[in-house]
Amino acid sequence: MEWKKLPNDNNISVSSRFGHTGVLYQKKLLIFGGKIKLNNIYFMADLEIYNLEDKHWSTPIVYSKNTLKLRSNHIAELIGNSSILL
Amino acid sequence: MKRTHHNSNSMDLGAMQTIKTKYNFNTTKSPTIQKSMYRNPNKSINLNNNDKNIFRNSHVTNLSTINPFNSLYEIYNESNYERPLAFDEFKEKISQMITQYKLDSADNKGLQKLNLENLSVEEKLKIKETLNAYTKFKNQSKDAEIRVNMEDRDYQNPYDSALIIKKNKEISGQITFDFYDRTRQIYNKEIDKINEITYNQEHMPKKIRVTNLVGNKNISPISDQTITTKKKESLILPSIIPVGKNKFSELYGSYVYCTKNFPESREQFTLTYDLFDVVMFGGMSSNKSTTVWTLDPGMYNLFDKFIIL
Repeated sequence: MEWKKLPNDNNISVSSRFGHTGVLYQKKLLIFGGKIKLNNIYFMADLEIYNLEDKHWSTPIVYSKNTLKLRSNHIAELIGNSSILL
Repeated sequence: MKRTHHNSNSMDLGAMQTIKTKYNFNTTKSPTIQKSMYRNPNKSINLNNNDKNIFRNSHVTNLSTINPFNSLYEIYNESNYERPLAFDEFKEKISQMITQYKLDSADNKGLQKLNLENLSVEEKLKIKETLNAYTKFKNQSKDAEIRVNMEDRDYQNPYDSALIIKKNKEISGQITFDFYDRTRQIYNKEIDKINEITYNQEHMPKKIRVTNLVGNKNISPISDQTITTKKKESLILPSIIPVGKNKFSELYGSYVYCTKNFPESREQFTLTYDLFDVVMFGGMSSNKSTTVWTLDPGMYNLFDKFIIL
């Protein structure tokens, strides 16, 4: 049993973050929110997806009536196979 | 699930690789003030006490004001020395240092006369084979010419191999010239880690790559130009003396790194899993990594744990 680095084939990287959530869904890792530390600490509300099969990151276009607020140290839970609860 | 714990002391030395690295170094002793100026501001080896004292140089607060090669240090400012550099990254950094050094040197009339391009062509093949760097030294006699060769040797017991690693460290301590100071620091840092591991002798490999000091009789002069010595912030730059008197010495050091990857320590990360994958991403770590890690079960068979009779 050992850890392995997954490659990033399309060289599109996401910003390093902490306090985010990750949900594994259909061979895709969905990353949402968290904080990023530059000169200051900024909260985030973006959704990033890492495809475990294609080995690359992508940023989906999210259609939503209500904009999600910036957040970190939250939780995310997969409900069935259709929804993610934040 | 069994929890794995990793730290620098528990690195599997069986996975260690040694890369042959070529340095040029000045065998003449540098002034004490020069050594103190080029110490790592955070941690360094006291060369005057047989490498036994590792201390913090709190008195060295601002390297950029006294170092003429500021650009070289800026290259490294982005690096995080708390983690081992992969060899490719290490090689790239040194290449950047050489390029930057040449660019900086072009502003100096004396260094313009010194045909650095011919120098790199002359050693081009060696550069491809080994990690290479160039510099200029002063007042090196033929007797002081030393080449350090490397070879793999099985010492049959971990104690002797530990002594050789210590010897390697002492050899690296001879690189006192500023241009290689960063290289030496990185090298020493890796050696420090190995020295820590030597306390746990049972993990010490028997077979290691060693260095031997031998006389070097095939050293060619690099220049017939004279570089004037200039001063900056009380720092004396090395000078080139005419051909026939100036000789190069070469040091083959070893850059040791661990090929076994494991995640950095972190907090506030995400670790999620399903029936097929265990994935970890993000968190506060030392190098702000954006790597996605996955836990490979390897030969670990879950069904062995759940045998139904």
